[in-house]
Amino acid sequence: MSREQNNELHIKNVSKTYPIEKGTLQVLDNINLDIKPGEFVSIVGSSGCGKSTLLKMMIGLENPTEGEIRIGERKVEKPSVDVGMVFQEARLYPWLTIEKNLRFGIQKDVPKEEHEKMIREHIELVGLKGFEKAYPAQFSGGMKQRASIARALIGNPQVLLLDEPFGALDAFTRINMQNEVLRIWELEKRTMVLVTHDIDEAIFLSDRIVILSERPGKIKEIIPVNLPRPRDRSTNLFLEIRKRILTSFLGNSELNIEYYI
Amino acid sequence: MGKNKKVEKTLYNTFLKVLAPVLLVLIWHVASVAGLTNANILPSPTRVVETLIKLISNGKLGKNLLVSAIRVLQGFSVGTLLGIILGVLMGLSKTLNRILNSLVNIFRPIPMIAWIPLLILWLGIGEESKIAVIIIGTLWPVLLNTISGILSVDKKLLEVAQIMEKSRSQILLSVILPSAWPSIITGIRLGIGTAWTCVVAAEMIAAASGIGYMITYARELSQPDVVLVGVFTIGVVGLLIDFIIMRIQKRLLRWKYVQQGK
Repeated sequence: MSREQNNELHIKNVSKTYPIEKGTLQVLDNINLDIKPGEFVSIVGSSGCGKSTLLKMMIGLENPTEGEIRIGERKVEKPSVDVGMVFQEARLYPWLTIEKNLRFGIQKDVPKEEHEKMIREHIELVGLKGFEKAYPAQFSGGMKQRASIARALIGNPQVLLLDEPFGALDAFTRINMQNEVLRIWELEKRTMVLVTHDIDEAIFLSDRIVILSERPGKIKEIIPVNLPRPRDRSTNLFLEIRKRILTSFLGNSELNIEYYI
Repeated sequence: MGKNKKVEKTLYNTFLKVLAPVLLVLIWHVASVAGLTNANILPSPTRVVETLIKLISNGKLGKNLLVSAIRVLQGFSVGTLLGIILGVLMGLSKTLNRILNSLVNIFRPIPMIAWIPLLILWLGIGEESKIAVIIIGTLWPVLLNTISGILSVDKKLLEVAQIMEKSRSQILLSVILPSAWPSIITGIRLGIGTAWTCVVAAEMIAAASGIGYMITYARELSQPDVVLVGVFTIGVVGLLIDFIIMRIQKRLLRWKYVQQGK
């Protein structure tokens, strides 16, 4: 339907500083980035480089000190339903069943008759069928995160932000969830922006990978990933991109690729 | 086999629970029979049970209990309502919290009994003064627990609602209040305990009916068996109230008690 409308994400000359005890602390320095509708972009960088802050500004929970962020024509200044977000913690409401958690995510202009169907579809989408009446406390970490993704998607955002969503999961569950996100993205072709420090995760999922420098975060490099999906993590092309990213992080010191396998 | 073990365990636990009270009554009984106690001060358990049956059958216990229960119910419901409303407002508004906080801190440590003479002066020795004592007694625990429940709402959960562009009233009803419920219910549980204590205290000071009055009157007539029946009744009723509140709590907060790892 109207997904084709202009919902390109523009980040223009964005800087962010926080006041601290003596003076200010600059977290982000002059970030410029355009993200096309339907694109999957990852932002990687060491901790404290401001990648989560950038994400928070994209959704309007924080505002840039300088520059602006726009989605299509709208300047992002406060949270809006056209951007959704999944956090590292699932942040489900513990007093609601999964079904009701999802219902809470539905936008208010959606007619009531459609709610049931939407909930059913989204629960199926993330593979939680049969667990509608369960409470979050009964779920494993991976299942909670699935529910959290479903709740973000049911609000039908044009852009979905993922803030280290699998950082707290074990390695197997993480790979599983990456496949799941890829499947959902391919199915819905929604713009997704992922913040992660898992380089493999970024390569596996993204069209482009944005590498941020250490504080203050600047865009160091943007690496396109032109590999067919689903990507095999052990191919040479995959490893080459990985090497490029690591080189970007660690400077020009010679890297022995075998070392990182 | 698992089931048998479970039954055994429950039986064992029940045994442990009743062990101490049964033992106490047994010692009391033996001491009475052996003539170690003065029956005018501490009558035997059989005597107390006889009195209990008498007071039940002539309706005195039931009547007094009912009077006290009605007072508690009135005072407790007003106190709880007041505590929740004031607590929510104070939890939400930093300004109001600052304004009222010093007042709360001054009045809270005052024991309930200390209010009774003043309240009698103001409201007379009728129902009003007793209910007022109960209101004050219920108010504090409910108020303080409501405030702390509202303040302890997870900021991360608020952020989620903000992202979904929920209105302020929706955030209050769907996020803040549900997350404060466990704390509010704890306050209510403490509140009804205090309410029950308050009614007895108020009735002992000035009343012509109620369980507290029954006890004081029996003391004046030197009827230790009636006093004991009254005292035990207070204990049993308190236990019963707590049991009921626990049940309601488990019902309302089912999400807190669900089994892990389904």
